[in-house]
Amino acid sequence: MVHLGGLLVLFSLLLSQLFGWQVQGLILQSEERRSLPEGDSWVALTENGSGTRHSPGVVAFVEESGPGVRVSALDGDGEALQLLLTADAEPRTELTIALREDTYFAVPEAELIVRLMPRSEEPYSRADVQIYSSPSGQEILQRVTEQGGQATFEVRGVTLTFVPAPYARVLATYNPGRWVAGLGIVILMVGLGGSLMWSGRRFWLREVEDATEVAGSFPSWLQGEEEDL
Amino acid sequence: MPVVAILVGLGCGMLLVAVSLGIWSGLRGRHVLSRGAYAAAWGAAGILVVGALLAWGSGLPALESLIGVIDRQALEGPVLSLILMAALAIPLKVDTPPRALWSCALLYLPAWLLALAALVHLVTPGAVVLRADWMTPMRFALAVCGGLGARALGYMLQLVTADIAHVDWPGNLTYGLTTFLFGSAALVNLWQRGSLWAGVEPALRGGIAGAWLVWSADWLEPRRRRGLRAALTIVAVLLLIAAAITPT
Repeated sequence: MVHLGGLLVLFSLLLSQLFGWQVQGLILQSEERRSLPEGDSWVALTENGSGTRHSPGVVAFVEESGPGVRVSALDGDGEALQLLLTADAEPRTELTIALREDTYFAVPEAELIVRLMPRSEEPYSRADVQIYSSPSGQEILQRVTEQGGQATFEVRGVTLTFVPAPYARVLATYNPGRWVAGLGIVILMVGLGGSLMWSGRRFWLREVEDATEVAGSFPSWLQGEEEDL
Repeated sequence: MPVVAILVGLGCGMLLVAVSLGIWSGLRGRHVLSRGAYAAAWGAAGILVVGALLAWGSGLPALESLIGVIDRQALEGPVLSLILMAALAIPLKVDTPPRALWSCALLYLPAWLLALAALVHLVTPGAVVLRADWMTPMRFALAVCGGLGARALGYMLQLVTADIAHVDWPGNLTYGLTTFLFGSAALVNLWQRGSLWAGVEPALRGGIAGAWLVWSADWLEPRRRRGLRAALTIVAVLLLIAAAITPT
């Protein structure tokens, strides 16, 4: 059993090395689906952000979760304004930000810079918001969001809306040898436990004139036959 | 001075007495001295077990209020594993034939070295690594296996140097426990993360897998090849102890 278990584990390692894959550090927010390397594989967060949904055969593990927000900005006429997360990023009307550390984004059309600072690592924690004028850098507004990052601010005719969108850092794995490895480990543990607890007995027989002498751990079920000898 | 450091110092001193009495009993040929070594080792085992309980208990929320009354210093890092390994490495039953009384000193040698390393860590300023993630089930299991393995190492040293009948059970227990504990951890990992070793640091992975493979080779070897079995046991135990104290 031990040898069979060991062989199964080795076979499973070969299968996973040849046909399996693993993606680390995937950041998921809201219910967005992220495609994975192989075929039609995907992974997404559940509606409440506490778990994951994924395609068959994929195992998704949440390694870390924390606060995040979805941000949009409207001008006085109700028109959506472009937002920039970094200087070379593509402008978007809505940003989804994982608050793993202090984060800045810009509203170029309104000449505003916004700084977001999470208060804790809990998924629905509050965040401190500071809004600066650009390019002078003068602070215009400093507020705290509601639980989860929910907030609406009006600054210089611009309405900034923050909606909670907690993030999760996910490990996605496809391992075709998973069940083989599990079976191999169980067989190996059972076989090894059995052979350690019930190790082989040794006994010696020596024929003397009219009898047979026995030494060692002679099994009791053989004793009747030994008397016949 | 912190209580744990005092206890470890006392345990280390008593183990040194045990090693010394063991060697002296062999030189003098007096059985009473080896019984003295045995008593000193028992005392050291009790003291180090209390020290290990205080050290590991200081970081557990359920025991913090109780342990804090005795010792306010919360310990972290490799010193926790070293204290527990030293406590478990002390053999409590010793049957040494009169022709090789001195060899009982070898049984206490691994435990003494582990206790000495723990003491050096405790008294050296800045040497205690403050890692809040040291107290995990994996680290505790590694320390238990490392301690039992160190006990098996002592018996193996006695076998090789004094040609005494081998005591199998510490090595078998360590091997069985290592297989069971880390096999179970691998099953949990397979279920949660989809692979055997996901989430385990490379140093731990190499140490545990290496120790288990070497010990498997030792288990498959015929009993008569004592030298090779001794070498394999020593390598396996050293790998386990290295994995138990390596920060990641």
